[in-house]
Amino acid sequence: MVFFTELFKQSVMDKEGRFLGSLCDFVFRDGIEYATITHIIYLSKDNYKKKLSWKHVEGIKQDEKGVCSIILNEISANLEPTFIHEHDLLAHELLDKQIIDVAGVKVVRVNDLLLNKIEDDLCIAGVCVGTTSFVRRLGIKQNAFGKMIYSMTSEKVISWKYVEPLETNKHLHLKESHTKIAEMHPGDIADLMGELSPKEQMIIFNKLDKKTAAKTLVEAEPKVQESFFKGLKIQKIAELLESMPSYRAVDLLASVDDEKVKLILQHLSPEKAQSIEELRKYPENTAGALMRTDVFTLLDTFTATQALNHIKKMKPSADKTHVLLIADKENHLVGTISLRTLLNANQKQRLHQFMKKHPIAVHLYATKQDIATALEKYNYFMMPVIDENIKLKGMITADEILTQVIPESWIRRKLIVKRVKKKHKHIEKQNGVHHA
Amino acid sequence: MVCIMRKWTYFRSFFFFFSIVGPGIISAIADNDAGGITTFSVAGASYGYSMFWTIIPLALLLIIVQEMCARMGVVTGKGLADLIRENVSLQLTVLLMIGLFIANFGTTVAEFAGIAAASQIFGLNKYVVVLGSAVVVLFLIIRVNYKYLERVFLALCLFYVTYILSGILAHPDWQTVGWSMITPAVQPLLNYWVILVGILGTSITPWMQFYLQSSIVEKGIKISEYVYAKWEIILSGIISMGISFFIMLAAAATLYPHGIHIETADQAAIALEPFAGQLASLLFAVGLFAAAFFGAFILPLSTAYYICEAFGWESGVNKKYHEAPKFYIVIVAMVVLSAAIVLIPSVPLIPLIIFSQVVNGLMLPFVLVVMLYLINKEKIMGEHANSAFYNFICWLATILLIIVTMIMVGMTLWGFIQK
Repeated sequence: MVFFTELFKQSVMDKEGRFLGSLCDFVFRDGIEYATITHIIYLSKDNYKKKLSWKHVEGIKQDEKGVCSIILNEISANLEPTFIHEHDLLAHELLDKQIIDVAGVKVVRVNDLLLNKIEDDLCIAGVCVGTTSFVRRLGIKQNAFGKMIYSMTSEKVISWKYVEPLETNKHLHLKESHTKIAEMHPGDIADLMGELSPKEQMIIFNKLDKKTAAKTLVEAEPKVQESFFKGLKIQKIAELLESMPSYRAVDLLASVDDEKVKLILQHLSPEKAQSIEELRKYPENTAGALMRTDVFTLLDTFTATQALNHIKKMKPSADKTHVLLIADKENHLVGTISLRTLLNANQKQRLHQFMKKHPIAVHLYATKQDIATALEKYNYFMMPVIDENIKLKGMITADEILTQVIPESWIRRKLIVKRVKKKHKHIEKQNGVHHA
Repeated sequence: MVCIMRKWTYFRSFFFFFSIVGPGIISAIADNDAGGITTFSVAGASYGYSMFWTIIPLALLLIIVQEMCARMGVVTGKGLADLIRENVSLQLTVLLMIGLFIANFGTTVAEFAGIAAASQIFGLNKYVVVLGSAVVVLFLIIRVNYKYLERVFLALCLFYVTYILSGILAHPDWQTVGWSMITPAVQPLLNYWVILVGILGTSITPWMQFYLQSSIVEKGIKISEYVYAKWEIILSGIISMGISFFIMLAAAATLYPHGIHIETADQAAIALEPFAGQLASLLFAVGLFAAAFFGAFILPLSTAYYICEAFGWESGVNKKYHEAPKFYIVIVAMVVLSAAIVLIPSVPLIPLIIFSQVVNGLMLPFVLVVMLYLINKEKIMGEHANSAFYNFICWLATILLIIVTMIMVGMTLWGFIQK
């Protein structure tokens, strides 16, 4: 194991110990677990930056003082160094830049790179973000005074596996094929967004696929949502809104002024625009404004078999199957049924023969407090929403109401639940003993 | 609020301007802090109207420097400390940060000294007022959302109106004032130059650049909206120097003709009374208190912000202590130590403040040169790099500033050694 800083500006020697120049950079090929170093770049005696394949490197030698040098396996006459290509990914360009620690859900600044030998290759195994690497970068030597400073620091290394760059230059494209952020939970991404500047937020938005972006946006703080509407092109906004249910889109649009909403709606499909327009009419904090409209219903004339087949075909999400809503042909809410009853029923019976009649529902203009009370009283996970003619208009889930009624300070409270996942190893090391 | 905004579509661009307002005006006005008020009132009292010609060139300079910072913030979306670390070098960043910390710490001490001085004019106990202010400052920073903090800042800016009133109450001879604004009247006196350099140093400070750029980034202003930010900067440059003008005016119209010499801002406030009335004197002192309080507020906060920014530590007033410990340690240490230093009788305040001014002076050329380097780098600024003409003016101004600050540093050191 060796740090990039320890090799930087150290000498590059050929097989016979002739000095070729001093190392100034590495070219690397990105990978998921680690990045492999493909070339070394050194500043030759005649002041040119020259590139040489890693194949020519015999190894890294360390003298008794701990000073490293790079030894090549050829004599200098047999080497044919080339020049840096503009698309080369350079290790030095990673330094001092901000990266996202995907596992720790944090933005950090790179102080140093941890290089490790994997089989025959030298690889970038992780980035150092702790204070030890910071002090090392400043060039503080390990003498009596330096030791004192080092003893106050600690090192933190983030494995390359969890590193996602946050940059607008060519390094942005570094990991486009496998954006590590996409593996994060949208809620976590949203939290991360809150810590970034609007420009950086846009970089991340553009990295996410449509579905994750939409979910992230829904979870994000109002401040982030605001800069999203400000920062992205109308087409992109429309695309995202199109991919989410109308009720979510309406929530998001609440923070946007009318004129801009009109403009955005013009870019949406007519059906979507219409359903959003309709939902926007309901006063804030009433069932109409809070409900989701993508309701899953069964026809009262279905037989139990037909109903089950319909469920299999439509694959409704779990929150819609706690209680199944039953409507007639005109979409009037006529009953409910639990999945268990349906499974145990005589398969030829029609739903209206054994469903629970006179279902409980709330009106479009019911307030959030009413809905919360109703949910609590009847121990439901979900409340159907109807209009004055008992037509089914939507449904409200308990978790949506929970978001509405718990104090805002609770929502902003961090770290309530521990996510169960494989713990990612931080290589916490005491300083001083770097070399293994 | 949203509903009201929706109806007022006519005023949209007007409101929009106000949604962007903040960074420019706060950083420009914060230049007239306790130290700034002292310098300008001393200038007015010592040399009457003969220093008024500096106002217009200084306003221009202030606008140019602030405009570059704002443009970098808008184009790159990064703070100045970030840009220096990423594009220049880590070592320079650390040096600048250490320098800024020392300079800002000294300035914060000066602010608390200003609070103490103002409280004595009101006949209040300085121990109670200084400690009270320190507690209020910490409370506001730690417990209040930044969005509201910015409004508090803007409200504090309103207190500067008191200086305009004191200036008018001093009944200056407007014709002479107007004439002296456009006729450079340089006097071949060493002290004249010391004060001249002092005016410059207090009007354009390094920390202001860092603060401005970070808050522009924080606001997420886009390049298409940049024109609003630019107007804010032009306006706030004019307002800021306008206030300096009135401070100088109050002293020049009353104290100078009677040959009254002052050394501090609170002396100016007291000396005003016989000539401009009790109201003018009181207003002057209120302004001093507000300005010092403002500085005591914004300096620790911004210092903590850019130090954390540069070193990659967690920062932000929206975070809890355990999430961003270093950020809070910097703020609390600066406020508590500054207040303590002012209250401990045996600590020599003046040398400390002078030392911080020297550090400030030494830093300014570095910061300006680095800024000019960054803003001309095409990789960073793209098509928004400086034009050749603009560059010419900037370099000219920078070189002038460097010469002038070097003179200031040399003189302060010389004066200090002689003592």
